[in-house]
Amino acid sequence: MALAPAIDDGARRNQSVFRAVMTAMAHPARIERVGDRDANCPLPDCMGDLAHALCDFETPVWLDSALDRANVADWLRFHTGAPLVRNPALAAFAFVSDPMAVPTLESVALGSDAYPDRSTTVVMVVEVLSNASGVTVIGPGIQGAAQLEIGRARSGLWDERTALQPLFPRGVDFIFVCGDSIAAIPRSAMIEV
Amino acid sequence: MSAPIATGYNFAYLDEQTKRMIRRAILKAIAIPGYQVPFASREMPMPYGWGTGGVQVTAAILGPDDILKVIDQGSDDTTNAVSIRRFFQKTAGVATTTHTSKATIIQTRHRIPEDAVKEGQTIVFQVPIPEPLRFLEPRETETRTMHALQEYGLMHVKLYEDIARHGHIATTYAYPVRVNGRYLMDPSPTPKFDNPKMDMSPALQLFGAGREKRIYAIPPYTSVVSLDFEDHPFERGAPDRPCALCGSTGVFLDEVVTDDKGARMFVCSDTDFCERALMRRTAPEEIA
Repeated sequence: MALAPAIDDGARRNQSVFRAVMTAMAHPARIERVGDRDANCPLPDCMGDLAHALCDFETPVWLDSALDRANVADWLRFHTGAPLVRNPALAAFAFVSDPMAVPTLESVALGSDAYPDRSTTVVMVVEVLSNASGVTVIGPGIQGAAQLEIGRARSGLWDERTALQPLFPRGVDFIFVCGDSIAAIPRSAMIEV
Repeated sequence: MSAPIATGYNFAYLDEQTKRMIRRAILKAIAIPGYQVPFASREMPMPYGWGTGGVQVTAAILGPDDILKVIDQGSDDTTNAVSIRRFFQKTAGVATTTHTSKATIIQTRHRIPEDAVKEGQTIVFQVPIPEPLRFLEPRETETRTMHALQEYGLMHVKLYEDIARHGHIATTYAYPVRVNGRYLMDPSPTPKFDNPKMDMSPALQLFGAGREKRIYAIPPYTSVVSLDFEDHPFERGAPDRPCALCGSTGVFLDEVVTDDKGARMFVCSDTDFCERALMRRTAPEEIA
């Protein structure tokens, strides 16, 4: 199988993708755009651009069953060097292409009270990203309150997420991906369904 | 004056793997406001204590369209500020400014500009000792457990001992704060005068400690409370006189010795603010 070529001008591209992610993380629920997507990447939407900007040999990656294909694994291994793991609790990043198949939040790493940073970041493709409806989000980074609609997702996801809130600083950070748009729900955000 | 862009380096000096590692630490730091994220700090082409942590954070977030301002104790034109500014001119070719309002990234050593910062700006603090409990408890294993358990009584004891000894809280810089009601945080050795500016700031605040290998953050619109007691509330400590150059009041002043006979003057520590205040007073038509 032929491998896709590397993206041009990786340093600048990674920087602009990271800045979009950083801004999204600093302003939970706010929708940011990562710009032109890497068309050669087999990962859906702009997930590959995020993988390229954030993953390397230090970040074990978990893939959902729809992504668990040879071309995705080859692309990730060649372009990022990230090891692939079967257990989401061992992953620094969990890539989820089917929002109905997002792993239970019991099964991913939440970090510990002493090292809450040792947690899994869930990067998840969603059908829509909108601030017009959806769950209400409050917390650091948000003036007042914000709303975020992610469309269809496995039932119980938001309940599991709200159940994690008392565990802060342990928790899971979400990055939602839709086309070339992203929005983040870090663990510091409080969700009201 | 801009230095020619150096060749042979990656954009903004650091290699991509280092940047990714720092970027991941920054994302965790934002997600857990006030928590010190360990990171694999690199050796930089400057000594520890000269802002290696701040420089690494800036290098990791900096893009070609950014406009960078660097201040050292409020001043744009002291050695540390000039050399870091030129470092990024040289290795990233970015535009630089001294105007707070024009900058997208402000790297600072121990001050927050007098002009209000706005949303979309990022302040990068250079931090020598990130652990607020370090001088009270030298063991990292212990302070880590204290943060995990929110066991912050020791810091209140320290402030109480200040009151018992001096009659008031005598801590004037690196004044401990509580971020988002959870983590005790060292705001870096900024004067306590700047602490209220951190509270609900519209700008993203990132902190980098190179030697101690820690990154932490305050997201925008996050509560930052200076520790105090009901009967000894936090006092900002505003100077009792105006700036001797521009006449501004309510700003942080530096004491400048002017001769060897004990004469001194008090001037704005924020040189950009002072210059423009002076221009407004003397030649208001020259500034937009």
